Amino acid sequence: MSPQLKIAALVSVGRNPASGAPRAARNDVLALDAALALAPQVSVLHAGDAAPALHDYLAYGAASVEVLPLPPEADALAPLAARVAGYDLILCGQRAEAGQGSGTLPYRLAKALNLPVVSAALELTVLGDAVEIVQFLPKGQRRVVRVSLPAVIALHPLAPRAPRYVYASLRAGCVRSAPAPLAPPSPPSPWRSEPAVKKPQKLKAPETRQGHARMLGAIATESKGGALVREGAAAEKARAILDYLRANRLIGF
Amino acid sequence: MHSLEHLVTLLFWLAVAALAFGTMRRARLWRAGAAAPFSWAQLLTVPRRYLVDVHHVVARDPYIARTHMLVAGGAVAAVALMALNYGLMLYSPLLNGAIVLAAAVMLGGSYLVWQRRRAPLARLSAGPWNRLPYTLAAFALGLLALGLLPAALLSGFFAAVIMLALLAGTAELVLGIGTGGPMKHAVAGVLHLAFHPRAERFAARSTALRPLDLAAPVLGVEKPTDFRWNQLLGFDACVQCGKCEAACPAFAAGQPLNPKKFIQDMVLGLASGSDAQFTGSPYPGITLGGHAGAPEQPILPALLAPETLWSCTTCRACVEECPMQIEHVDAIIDLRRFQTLERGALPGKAPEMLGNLRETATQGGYDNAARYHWAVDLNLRQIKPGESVDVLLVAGEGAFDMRYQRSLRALVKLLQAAGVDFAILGALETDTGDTARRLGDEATFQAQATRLIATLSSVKFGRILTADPHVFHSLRNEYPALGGRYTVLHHTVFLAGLVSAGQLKLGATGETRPITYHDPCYLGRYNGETEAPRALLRQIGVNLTEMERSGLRGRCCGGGGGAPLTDIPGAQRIPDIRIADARATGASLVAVACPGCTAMLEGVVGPRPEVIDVAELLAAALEVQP
Repeated sequence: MSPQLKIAALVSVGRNPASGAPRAARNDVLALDAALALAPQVSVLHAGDAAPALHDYLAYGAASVEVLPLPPEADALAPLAARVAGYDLILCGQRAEAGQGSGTLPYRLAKALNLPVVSAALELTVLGDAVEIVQFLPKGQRRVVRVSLPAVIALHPLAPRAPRYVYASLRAGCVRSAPAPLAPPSPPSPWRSEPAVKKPQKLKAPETRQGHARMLGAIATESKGGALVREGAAAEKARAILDYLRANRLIGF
Repeated sequence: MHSLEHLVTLLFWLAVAALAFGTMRRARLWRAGAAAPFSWAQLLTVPRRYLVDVHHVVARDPYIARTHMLVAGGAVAAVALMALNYGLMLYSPLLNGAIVLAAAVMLGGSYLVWQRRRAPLARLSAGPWNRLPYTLAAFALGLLALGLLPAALLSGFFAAVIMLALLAGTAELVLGIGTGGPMKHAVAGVLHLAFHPRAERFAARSTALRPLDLAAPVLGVEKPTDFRWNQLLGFDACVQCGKCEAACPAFAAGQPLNPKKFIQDMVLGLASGSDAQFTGSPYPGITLGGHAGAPEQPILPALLAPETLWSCTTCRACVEECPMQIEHVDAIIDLRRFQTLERGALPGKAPEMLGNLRETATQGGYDNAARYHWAVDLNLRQIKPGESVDVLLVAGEGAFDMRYQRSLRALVKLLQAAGVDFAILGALETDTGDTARRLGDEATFQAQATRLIATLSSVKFGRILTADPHVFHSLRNEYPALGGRYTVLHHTVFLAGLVSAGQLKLGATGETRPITYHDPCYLGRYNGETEAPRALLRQIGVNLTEMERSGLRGRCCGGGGGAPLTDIPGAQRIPDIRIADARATGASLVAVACPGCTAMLEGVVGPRPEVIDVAELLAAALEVQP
């Protein structure tokens, strides 16, 4: 651990999946916790509004949270890049819980600053002017990578850290807005947002036959059962469907 | 002879001086604590508190009640008479006779103490406490000899022996307070009764925690001097009788907690020392000698292991049993407040639950809109802001538990059968924050309470009804301090009222199995409601078999105080012990009245009595099914 290391932790406002209540994004809390483990002084930066949920980061150990004002829908890249230029280590979560949550910020930030980027970091150790990272790979695999400082590192949501929520530190800290943006915000992203459409669910009659009968059915070439209703009025056809649904208990009325 | 009498006078005044000096010395330790209201007039409350409240607890063990009456009564009378006869140098033979009588009474009591200590109970402390019968007897014998033997018979040798016996007894009596010996309890006990940190308890059952000022420079207690001075004094009043230890469910389960040792550790903290000299039972699984403390040293972890702090279920069994009226649970919560609010150091699932509370206002992190899904087909009236109703049903966190939903549905069935005008808050209902408070998270508790109070003041209602004793306790006893004053009823009390008013007609139960009733701590000990559930069960023809520990002295199910979240390992689980209690009565059905108890007791594996809520038993016995 080198004392003169300049570390920035980028934090966002998350949302609870059950209630939708704004909160500290879990992944960003891990990034903050990892940063505080490396250096006592960490610049905690948030691009956007000074939302009350940012106070949670104070409880998780940030001495203060610096807000870089940003119009809604604007891209945070340019102001963040201008602010963290010159830092040794820039830590963030992999993906935001709210907003676009595209997960591209660490990459774009690294590209803008011309720095190496490592994603899915579980543990990090600073070794002189390099940092060694245990990286998450699927199926329990891990990989150790080493990058030279400065670097952008995105923490994996499963990073084995136990951040502590301390009310006294929330009370002691402060959220302050940077006076003026260092750089004009990047133009809004060209992405278009639209409400999600719930996909219709196919009702499937539960299988009632025993195993042997099912096996025979699977190899049979004739019709799998059911009836084809071609003739008759619309009401009769609807009646046939309703009867089928009721017979198979696919509807409860 | 005259010289001997003068010698006794000298001894008397020397003893008074030693007692005064020792008391001042000890008082300096207490005064290092934080400020608390003080007035000398409080000393006037001592006789009543001693003769009524202390006696009420001590009399549960008639042997020791009689013993203490003889020893302490005899000693106090003898010393008072000594003050007259020798202190004021009257030397009257009549007073001497009275002293002889008092000393004889004291000697009889000392014999009983000696008898008790021949085969001491495991909960008693040994060490200096074992010499007590001998020193007390020496004092009594010295006085007897002084009063009975004619001066002519007293040779120089005899006089010396008498003086030595008197000296030994007097030393025990007066040096205890200064040196921390057994007789410390006499002075500290009297002062503790006068300046009790929870004086309300002498007027009525008082169990609510004190609200914490969230703007205070330090939140909770880190070191002994952060306790209020009268709490420190209270620790010093402990007589190490171990009744708390015998009652503690965590100790019985082999979890690393012993309330008696906890109080003694706090004494070590205020007076500086190590626990190597402790002569009682240690914390299960933690050997003696490893802990030490000092007034300005943090209590955790040098003096107290975190596992000890988080083992407590806040059931208050220790407080209920304590003859010295010590408030163990308040001290535990004070320490937890510091650990939670200043350190965030909570074990197990507790941090996750607190996060859930802050973000969803439910302990399990559920969608609040799902709180009343169990009632979707019951046509309950959901109250909206501005409307009014007689009875407001508050389900609590149990509403998310599929098991407790059955009890809630039974309760609704009973309310509908009785034609009660009631409504629910539906998705407006939020958690009371009670569990957060037991875990020391006063900030989250106050935020939850403020939110619920705002919701409750948006609707008009006559009474609040709840099936959860924790909700009941919180709303009834702890919300008033935050500005929420309501009439709150537990469902057993409310239903008992409906039955006695003839509004609810119950038939006989079809249940033929032997039944016992488990008292929830937060209903029984915290609120004194032990009769209503029993009356209801009797009403439907249940012949109740009581467990050995029931009513106000019931044993905890292990579910209180966030203990299922902190989940400190022990030799066995508390609910296993409670189910063993139930089995011992031969019961094959345990009636309960709390979602926590239901979950804990149903969590016992293997063959066990069935666990059914009182409301379910009543609903099955409804005379006219709706």
